[in-house]
Amino acid sequence: MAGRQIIEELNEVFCDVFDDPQIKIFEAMTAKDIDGWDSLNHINLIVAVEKRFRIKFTTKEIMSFENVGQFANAVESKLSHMAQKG
Amino acid sequence: MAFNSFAFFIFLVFVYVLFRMSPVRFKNGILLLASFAFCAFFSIQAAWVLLAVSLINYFCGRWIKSAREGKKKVFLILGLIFNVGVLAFFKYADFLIENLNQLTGQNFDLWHILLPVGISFYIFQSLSYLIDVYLEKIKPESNLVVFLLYMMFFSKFLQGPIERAGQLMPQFKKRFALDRYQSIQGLELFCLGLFKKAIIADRLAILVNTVFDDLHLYSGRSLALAVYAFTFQLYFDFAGYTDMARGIGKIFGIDLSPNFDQPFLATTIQDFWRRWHITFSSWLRDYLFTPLMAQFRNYQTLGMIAATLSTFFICGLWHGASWNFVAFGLIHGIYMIGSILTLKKRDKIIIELLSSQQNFKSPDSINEANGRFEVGKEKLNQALGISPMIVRWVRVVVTFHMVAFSFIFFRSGSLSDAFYIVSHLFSFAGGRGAVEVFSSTEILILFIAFGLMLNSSRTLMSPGALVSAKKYPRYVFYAVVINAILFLGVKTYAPFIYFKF
Repeated sequence: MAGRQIIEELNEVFCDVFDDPQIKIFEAMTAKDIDGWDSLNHINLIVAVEKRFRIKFTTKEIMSFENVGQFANAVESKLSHMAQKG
Repeated sequence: MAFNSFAFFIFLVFVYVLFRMSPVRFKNGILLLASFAFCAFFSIQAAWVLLAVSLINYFCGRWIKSAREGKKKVFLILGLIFNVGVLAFFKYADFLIENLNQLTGQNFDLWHILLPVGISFYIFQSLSYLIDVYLEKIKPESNLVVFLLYMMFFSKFLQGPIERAGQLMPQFKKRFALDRYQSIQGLELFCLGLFKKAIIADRLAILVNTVFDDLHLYSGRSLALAVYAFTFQLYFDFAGYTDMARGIGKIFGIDLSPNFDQPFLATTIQDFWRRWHITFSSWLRDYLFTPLMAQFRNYQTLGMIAATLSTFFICGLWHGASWNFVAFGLIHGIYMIGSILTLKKRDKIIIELLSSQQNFKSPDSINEANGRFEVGKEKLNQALGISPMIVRWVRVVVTFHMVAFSFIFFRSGSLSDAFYIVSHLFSFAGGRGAVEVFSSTEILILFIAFGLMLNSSRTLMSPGALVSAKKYPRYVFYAVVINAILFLGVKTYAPFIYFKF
């Protein structure tokens, strides 16, 4: 799974978007595990993550995420790609 | 040869005996031949269209997988254009020509193309298959028979459920482990479906058709009763069909997805669409709404409105090539937008009210109430002296009426009929009254329909519960259901409503 710092920051975004400070994300977590994670909040989550990490997801990526682990990995790979570009 | 016809009964028994007797390696082949024959009973041309569409999608899925990274999208788009094109050609060509004629004053001839049975359902399955392959959620199917069964399996291609490849295909690949328990469950589900269709839906259809065929003869009250009756008719017709389809699936060891979860007990419109025609609404959510929202995500509220209206426009148009279905879809789109836009404000009002209550002064408890909205609402209602149960039922009744209102557009033959009903619902003058239209049997059926709606489908009407019940109560229940179908069921053949879609 993605690095610790990314997971922590991602967790904060989840808490903000779903308005629940108790959320603790984990790799296999899916929409079923969080109250209110519907299709609309899925997009709100994407927008919030894009803003926080200053990255951009493609529509294909947005439709592909099946759990938090995949989502976190995509964030990490985008960040490392940006760092390489420098 | 619909599920509620005698010919189908003979067909089913024949296929089942053949299926049971054949060695495992021939079972899929028998199901495929039976599926093709079933489709050909309706029309041989429809069967060829289904086969051709299935074959093209089979190859398209493989091309998407084997293409180079940049070319994958090209194959996906070609596949999507092909499928949408086929649906548009067969279903919407005349509708387009009619509207073009009206707009331009021209007089182009209509094509009068016969709609191949089940096309709206299986085209949606091909689209989701290609998209899932492109998104790498599934691998393209290499076994042609398995793929063709995914598209053509006779218990579901006519009217759904709209299955996902990842859910259905693996079931055709595993060795069929048929057990008595599953076959009995399947038969029970089939009978319960027939009960819903022949006793409730078809009996309600008699009075619905009487009123809707001659709207101008009836008073506002009769129109309103017909609208309620149609709301129940549509549900029991389609839920009955789905039970029968799933029952047949189970008899052959295949689990098809459920389509309904007590939709008239929904507390909001969002909740309704999570419970009504679930395989269709989840398809729209995953393959239309989500990508549209992804595209429009930076336009905030405007983006949400555009994505929601577009999704429900397609939802309406999918049901039929006419403006009343478009209106049905748009009404739900407007309901949905209203609900989404006001939800946060409603939350806020409740939080403010909560914070003014003595027990909710600490910011933590406000946050908690915000996060746990249901709990917050309950506490608020208690503070105001309103039972949460009453609030829940008010919401159920309001949602039910919003849905019933939209069904006026679903049932009416044209927009002008729909507007006539809407404008005369509350007129009490003249026309035939309810008593003249409704016989006591029909009123009784309405009560039964209402009772079944309230009764959890997970208890009395659940086949699983029946199989595990004791022998004698079970036999009594069978006897009641079979006698009811024989004596109360409508004998003349009536097609399923969703069949024409």
